[in-house]
Amino acid sequence: MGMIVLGLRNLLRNKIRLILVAILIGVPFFLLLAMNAIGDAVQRQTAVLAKNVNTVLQLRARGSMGHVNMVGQDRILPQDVPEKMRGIEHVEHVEPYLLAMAPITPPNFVMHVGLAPTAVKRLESHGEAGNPRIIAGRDFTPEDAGQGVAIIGQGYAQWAGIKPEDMGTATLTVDPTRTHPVIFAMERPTRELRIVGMYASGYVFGDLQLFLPIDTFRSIYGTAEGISWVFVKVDSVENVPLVAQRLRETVGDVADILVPESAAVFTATTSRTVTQLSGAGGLLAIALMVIVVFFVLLMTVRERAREIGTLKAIGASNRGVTLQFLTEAVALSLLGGALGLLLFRAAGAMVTGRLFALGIGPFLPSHYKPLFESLAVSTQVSASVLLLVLVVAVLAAVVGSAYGVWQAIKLSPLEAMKHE
Amino acid sequence: MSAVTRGLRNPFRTRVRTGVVVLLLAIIIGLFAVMVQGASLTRQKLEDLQASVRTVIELREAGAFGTGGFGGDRPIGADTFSVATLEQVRRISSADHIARMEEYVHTPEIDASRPNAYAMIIGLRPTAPMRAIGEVDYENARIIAGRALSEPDADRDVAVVGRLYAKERLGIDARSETALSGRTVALNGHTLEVVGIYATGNDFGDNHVFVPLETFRRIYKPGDKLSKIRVTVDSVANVEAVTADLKQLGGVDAVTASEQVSTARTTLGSMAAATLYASLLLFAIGGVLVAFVMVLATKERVREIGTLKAIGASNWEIVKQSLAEVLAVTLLAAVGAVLAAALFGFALRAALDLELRLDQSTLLLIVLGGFAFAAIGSCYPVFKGIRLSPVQAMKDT
Repeated sequence: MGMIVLGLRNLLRNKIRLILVAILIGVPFFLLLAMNAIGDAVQRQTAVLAKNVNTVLQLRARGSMGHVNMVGQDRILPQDVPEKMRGIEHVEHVEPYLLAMAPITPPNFVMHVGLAPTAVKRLESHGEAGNPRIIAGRDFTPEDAGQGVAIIGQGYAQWAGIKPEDMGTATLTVDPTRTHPVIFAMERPTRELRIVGMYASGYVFGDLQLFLPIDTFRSIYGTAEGISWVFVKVDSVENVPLVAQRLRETVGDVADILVPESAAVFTATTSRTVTQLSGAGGLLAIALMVIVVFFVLLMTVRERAREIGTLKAIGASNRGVTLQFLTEAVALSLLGGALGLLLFRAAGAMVTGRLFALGIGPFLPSHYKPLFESLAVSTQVSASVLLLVLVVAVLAAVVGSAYGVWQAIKLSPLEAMKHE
Repeated sequence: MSAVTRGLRNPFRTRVRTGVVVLLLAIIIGLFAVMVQGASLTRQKLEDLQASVRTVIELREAGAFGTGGFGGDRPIGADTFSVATLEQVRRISSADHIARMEEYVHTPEIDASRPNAYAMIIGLRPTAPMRAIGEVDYENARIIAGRALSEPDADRDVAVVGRLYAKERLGIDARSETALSGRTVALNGHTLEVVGIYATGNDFGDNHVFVPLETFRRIYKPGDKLSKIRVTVDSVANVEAVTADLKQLGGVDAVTASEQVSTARTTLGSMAAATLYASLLLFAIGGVLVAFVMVLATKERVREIGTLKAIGASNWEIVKQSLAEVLAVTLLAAVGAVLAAALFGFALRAALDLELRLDQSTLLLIVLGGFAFAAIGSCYPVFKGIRLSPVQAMKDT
């Protein structure tokens, strides 16, 4: 017990050495925590990328554009296709759409799109470009299902003479009998829809659509069953090739499946490498911490070989000397760890966030500046990570110190006292 | 013996201590070299992603689907979207960020008697990607027979046809080894040699015919008219700025998947920022560690400095000797660092299948940085020693 107390008191004997050694241990500890936080931030961003980019697949009837009134292109998918797809692993959600063309003047056409009220409003020419901005009126709500309501693109509205201030009162008559060189007449009654909202997509063709609830679409065009397009959202870009394969096996006989497969594979492979590299950074930081702690303790003990000789000369046992030095080692590594943690908690957010952005930001291209604020490096450290790191550091300190002590106590007291 | 020679020989005087210091520095420098190399590789991978993911902007005549019209359509941009648009695109303020442009001209070939009535004839530069209708930011067309178009095909009467088109309209079975021998396709009264068959895996996408742009113009006489221009931006970080400029052009629809572009820009940009930050942090912390190791390793030399002063060495000689010693130790550590880096690189390759080869510039940067920080670290005890009188210095250990 006495040697343990002596070991603890020894720490305070040479304050400069104590500070130096604590900093030497604390700095790699800080680095480890910082690398861990940066690795976490990178992995979070990678997960967002993998979840949201190149993860949407489109299905249409084989060889068809799937427009219910387009000459030679009116084949649509069987009604049960969405249900079959929902059962496939890694499919996050499935959104069915029905599409029809409608002529306008000067000669051109607009698209009528039936969808579930809460589904993404996809633009005909670029299905992945979704959810155009509502600029007047309101968006759909679940209560709109089956109702005679619609949301109109600003270009289509301009052609139809509908103004933004008319939302909720303006109406548009859908006439399935009207034709165009590629639109055939469907002998169905006209239907008046109340326009509840207006959207803007940012480009002219994108603004030539009318969104209406899918059940309303079915009743207007008499399409009791079938689907024009289905958009499938996969849970991660990693699983896109697998889901595409399953889709081909399940509905490939009736569906064309448009898959951003090459882009998905590239994104997945490169993201995986980035994640591995950030993980490797964490591993290397652990290795660095272990090595630094080991050598620092080894060096500090070697410097004190004369002290070990003196202790032996006044009758201290090898066990007692070892215990004293190991106590010092454990206390030093805990102190260094606490210093690193304190540094990280106190300065981590500042260093990783604003200070860094202010200090380095001006030297970077302008588009990087706002990204530092979205980097969101957290200074929270989980208890399990902290415990693991501390245990590893203490073990390295004990081994480094024990090795130095073992070398010194092998010597006679006289030899040890001569040893520099 | 000069101070510099003494400094260079000094590390070999106490071999065990020097060995420990050199080993420690070698491992620290080696580890940091690997980490900086890793950060550099991460940055390179992120740049690859930024240059490839969601960087295509599709331009079409305003108000059109972009497939050459469906029977006399007159969209708003019908008269203005042409070869002249290419020049307008080159003059936008963010044109420096345009990596490449590919122009396409389409015309449908409608045969209502067939189940797949709408075939699409697409004129393109021979080396441009063969993008099927519906594919914007990627292309899945793969040659399954014959060859793709190439530079010498410009203006030649050749075509690459889709699998379905070949089967239904030309009676060609792509699986046959002699599928293409002497096969031709008639387009608007002209006969073209079929040099290749492609497949996207979809019937609609496999119902196209790709021909060289000049050949298309000669056959269909669309004049300067274009159907689509695909603009590839150098990085997803610049797509929104380039799109905003392109939207200012009259008669042009500039289309991107804006939500995905925004997500890709933010996530990849944040990762690039994190990596840059990690590199700088590594360099700074590596420097601090090296400096502290040297402080610890040389602080007991204050007595020696006192002895040197007692025998008449000048302060400048002591500094020179110390710097020479640091140089010797750092050089020894650099040799060890190469071995340590190779060892860590091997471990990473075995554990994570990551190829991390240390390049010369990284090693040079780390070694020079190591020397600079080691010199700074050793300055503290040296300056402390030379401020003391010889007697005080010799007592002060």
